[in-house]
Amino acid sequence: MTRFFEVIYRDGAARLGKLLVRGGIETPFIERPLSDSSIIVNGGSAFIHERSSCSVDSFYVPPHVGLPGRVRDGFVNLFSPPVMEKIEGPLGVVVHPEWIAEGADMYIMAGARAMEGDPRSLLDAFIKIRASSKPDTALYVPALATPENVSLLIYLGADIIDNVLTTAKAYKGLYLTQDGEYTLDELPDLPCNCEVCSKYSVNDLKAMPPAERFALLGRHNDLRLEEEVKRVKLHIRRGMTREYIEKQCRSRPWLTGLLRLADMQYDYLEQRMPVYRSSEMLACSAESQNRVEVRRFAERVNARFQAEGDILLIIPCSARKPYSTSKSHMTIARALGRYRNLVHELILTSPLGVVPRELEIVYPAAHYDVTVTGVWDLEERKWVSDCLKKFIETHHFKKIIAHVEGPYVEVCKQTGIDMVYTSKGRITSDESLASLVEQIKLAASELSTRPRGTRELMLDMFRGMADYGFGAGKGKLLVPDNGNVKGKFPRFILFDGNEQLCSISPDFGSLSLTLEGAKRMGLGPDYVVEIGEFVPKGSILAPGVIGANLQIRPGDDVLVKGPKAIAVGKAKMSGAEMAESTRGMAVELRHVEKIS
Amino acid sequence: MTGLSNVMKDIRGRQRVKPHLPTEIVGFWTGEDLLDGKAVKTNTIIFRTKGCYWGRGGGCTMCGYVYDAATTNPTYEDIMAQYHSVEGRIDGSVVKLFTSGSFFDIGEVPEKARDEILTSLSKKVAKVIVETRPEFVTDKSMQAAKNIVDRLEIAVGLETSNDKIRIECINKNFLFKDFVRASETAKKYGVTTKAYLLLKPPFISEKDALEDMARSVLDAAPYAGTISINLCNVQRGTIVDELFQKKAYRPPWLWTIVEVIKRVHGKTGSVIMSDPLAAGSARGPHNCGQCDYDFADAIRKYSITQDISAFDGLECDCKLLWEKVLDLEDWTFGSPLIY
Repeated sequence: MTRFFEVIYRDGAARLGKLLVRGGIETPFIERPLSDSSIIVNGGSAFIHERSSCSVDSFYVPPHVGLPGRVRDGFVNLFSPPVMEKIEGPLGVVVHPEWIAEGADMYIMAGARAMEGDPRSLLDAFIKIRASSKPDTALYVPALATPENVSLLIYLGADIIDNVLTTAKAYKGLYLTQDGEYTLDELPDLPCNCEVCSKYSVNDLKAMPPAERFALLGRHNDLRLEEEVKRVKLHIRRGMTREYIEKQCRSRPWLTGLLRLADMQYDYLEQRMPVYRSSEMLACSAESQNRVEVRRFAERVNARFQAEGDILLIIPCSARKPYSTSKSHMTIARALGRYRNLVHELILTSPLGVVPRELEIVYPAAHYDVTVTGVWDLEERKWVSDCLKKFIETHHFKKIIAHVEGPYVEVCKQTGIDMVYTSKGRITSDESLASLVEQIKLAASELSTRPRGTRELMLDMFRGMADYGFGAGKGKLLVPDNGNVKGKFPRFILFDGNEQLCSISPDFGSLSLTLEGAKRMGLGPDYVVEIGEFVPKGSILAPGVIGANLQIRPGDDVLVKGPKAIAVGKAKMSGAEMAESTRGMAVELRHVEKIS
Repeated sequence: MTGLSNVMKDIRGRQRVKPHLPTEIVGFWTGEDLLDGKAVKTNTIIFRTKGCYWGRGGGCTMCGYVYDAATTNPTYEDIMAQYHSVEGRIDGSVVKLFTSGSFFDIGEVPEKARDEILTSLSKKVAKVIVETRPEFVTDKSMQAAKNIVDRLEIAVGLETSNDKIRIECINKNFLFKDFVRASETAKKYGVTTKAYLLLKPPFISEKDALEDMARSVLDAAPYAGTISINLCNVQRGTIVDELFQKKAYRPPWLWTIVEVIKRVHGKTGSVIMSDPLAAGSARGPHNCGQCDYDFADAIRKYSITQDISAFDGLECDCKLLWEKVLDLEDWTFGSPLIY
C-alpha cells in the first residue's frame, strides 16, 4: 500500500497522478537530480554506501544494485531483490523485471538507459514491473527520456522520468527535438522558439566556450522535454494519447517497434483501456487497426453480440456518426421503408470490421474517424473480411444481401460466402435501391420472414448493447418484451412500466443502468464490486473495495454489493486496480440503496 | 558469491577455446619500467600453465586470461621448454613472470621448474617480478625464492581495497587482510610487493569507481612499493563481456584514471603506474574518441617518469561530459550513461 502516490486520471496504461509529497506533485513528473526540484534521494551503490536517514518530503532509494532488464536471466539472481524495511517517508526501490519487491511507493526500472533501441526488453520491463507492483505505486523510468521517446514511455506507464539523458546528450553537443537529435553542425538554423533558441543563433552557440554552450543545450533539451511532457498530459486528459503516440512513434524505427510490440501484448493495454468514453477515436495509421478499442470491439461483437433473423443486409459505413444520421444511411432507410423491418443491418467498416446496427451508438462505433481514400490496403481488407466472415458464421441468417460498392465489394467477396449483390454502381442510385428492395421482398417471401416492429427494433438495440457491455444473454435479462422506450434517438430511455431500467449515453457510447436494471441483469460475477460494511455516498474509494472482478474495465457500469448497501455506478479504474489499490476513486455511484 | 562463479562457469562453458600446446608460451614482450627511479628495459614472460585455479572454478568477472590455459597440464619439461623458447631474447634489467594465475602455485608451475627459471634469471637480470595470488606467498615459498633471486618482487592482483567490491563485483575470493599478510610475509624475506588494482569493475558507476580507486591506492600504498592500476578492458568470455554486449558495462574513462593519479600523486611513497591497454577502443578505456591517444601517451609518460606534469595541457571538450557522467551515472540505476 502506498501513502505517497495517487492516480488521478487514466488513459490506458498512461496516467496522470499525484506524488503526495511537498503538498502534492503532478505526474508525469520530470525528476531533475541534484536540483532543488529533485524529489528523490538516491542512496547509491550497495557496494559502497550504507543506508542513511530519510525525510518525509523525498522518495528515499536505499543503496542498491541495478541490472538492466535485457541482461539474461542467469544474472538476475546474482543480486537479491531489495529487502523492504519499513521507513517513515516515501520509499523508492530499484527493480529488475524478474524481481518482486513489495511495499515500495515508487519502483525504479533498473538500467532503463541500456534498453534504448531495444523495444522488446523495454516493453518486457514495463509489463513485468507493473505486474509485480501495486497499480497505485509510481513507476520511474530513469535516464532514458528524450523529447522523442518520452510520450511512448508515458504511454506505457511511466509516472516519473528525468532530464538525465537530455543533459548528458547536451554535454555530447546534441541538440534534441521532438523528431530527432542533431549536432550544431547539422543545423542551419535552430528549429525552436525556446528561451535559448530565440536568444542565440547556431553560430552564437558554436562560438561559445564549451561549458556555456553545453549548459545552454542542456537548458534547451530540458525545455523540449518539458514541453513534450505537457503535451502528453493534455492528450491523456483528452483520452487521445494513442492518437498522439501513433504519430510520435514515427520519429524512430525502434519507437514504432515499441508500439507494435505493445499492441501484440494486448492484455497489458486492454486491462487498462476504458471501454466507453467520450473522446474521438482517430484511425490514421496502419497501427490504428491493432489498437485495443478496435480489437476489443471486434472481439465483443464476435463473442457477446447475438442477433436472430432471416435476412442480413450488409451496407457500407458513413463518415457521419452515428451512421443512421448520415445522408447515405438515411437514403437507404427511406428507400427501404417498411421493408427495413425484415432485415438485420450490418455495417462494414475499417478499422472496426463490422458494426451491427444495434451497436452503432457504442464506443467507438460512433466515435471514430478514419482516413478515407477509397483504396483499402490488403491488411485492411483481410481484417474487415475476416470480421464479416466470423459474424456470418456465428449467426444463422438464411439470406445475405450485400448492398455495397467499390472496395466493400471486394471485402465481401473475399469471405467466399454466398451473397446477393444489389448495388448497380452507386449504392444510393435509384436503380441500386430498387434492386435492393426487390431482393429483400423476394427473400422475405421465400423465407416467410416475420417483420420486427419499431419498438422491437429499439428493444433489440438495448439488448445488443447490454450483451456487448455485460456478456451474451444479459440483454434478455435486462429488456422485457413489453418494455417501453422513450426519448429521441439516440437518447433512448428504457422502462418496464414506470420503472426506468437504463438509458443510452450517446456521449460515452454506453448504457447507463439504474439500480433496477443492474439487479435484473445480476451482473455477477463479471461486473460486481464487493464492498465492506458501510453505506456509500457518491463514490467508492479503492480502500473500500473488498473484491472486484478482473473483467471490469474503466467505464463499465458495475453492481456494487455490500452487507449494508447495494448500488450501481461507473467504474473509474479496472477491477484489478480496485482490488489492489489503496487510493483513488474506484466507482462513481449513480444509485444507492440501503439494505435494512 | 557463488552466484557469480556459476555464471562465470556457465559463460566459460559456452566459449569456443583454441587448443593450446603445453610447450607453447602465451607471450613475451619488451617494455619499459621504472627501476630505482630510472626507466629501464623490462621483459614480460607469460607462461602457459593449466591456468589459475580460481579462474578454472569460474573466477573473476573481468578475466579472460583463463582461455590461454593449456589443454593438458604442462609438465616440468613443458614449462622449461616454454622458458627456453624465449630465454635467448631476455635483455632487460627487469623480468616479469606471469602465468595469468600464480607463478608460486606449484599446481601451475612445478617447484623444480620454478627454481630453475628463477636461478637462470638471477644471473641475467637485476630484478624479477612474480605474479601470484596472496595465498601462495608463504614463508616456505618466499624463503625458497629469496634464496635464489636477490631482488624479488611479488605482484598481487589486489584489484581494490574494498572487500565488498572485490568479492561481490569482481568475484575474487580473498580479503584485503590476506593481501596485507602476503606483503608482510614477503617483507620478512626482503621481498617487495607490487599491487595491481582494477579501475572500474562491473556493477559500479564511474564516480564510485574513481572514488574506490583513489581510496585503494592510499590503502595499498603502505604495503606495496609499486601500484599498477589496470584499466578494466572487456575480455571475451567474461561477465564484463556479457554486460558490455548488453550495454550494461562501459570501460573507464581515461579522464578517470588521470583524476585518480592526480588525487594520489605525492600522497604515497609508492610508484604509481598504469598501462592503458586497448585505450581508445570500445572494449578498452576511452574518452570521446578524439583525445584517447593523447591521454594514453600521457598516462604512459607519467608511469615511466612519475612526473605529474605529464598531464599538463591535456584538455578536451569531453571533460565536461565526463564530469556530467560522474554526477549523473548513479541515476541510471544500473547502466552506463554514455557509452
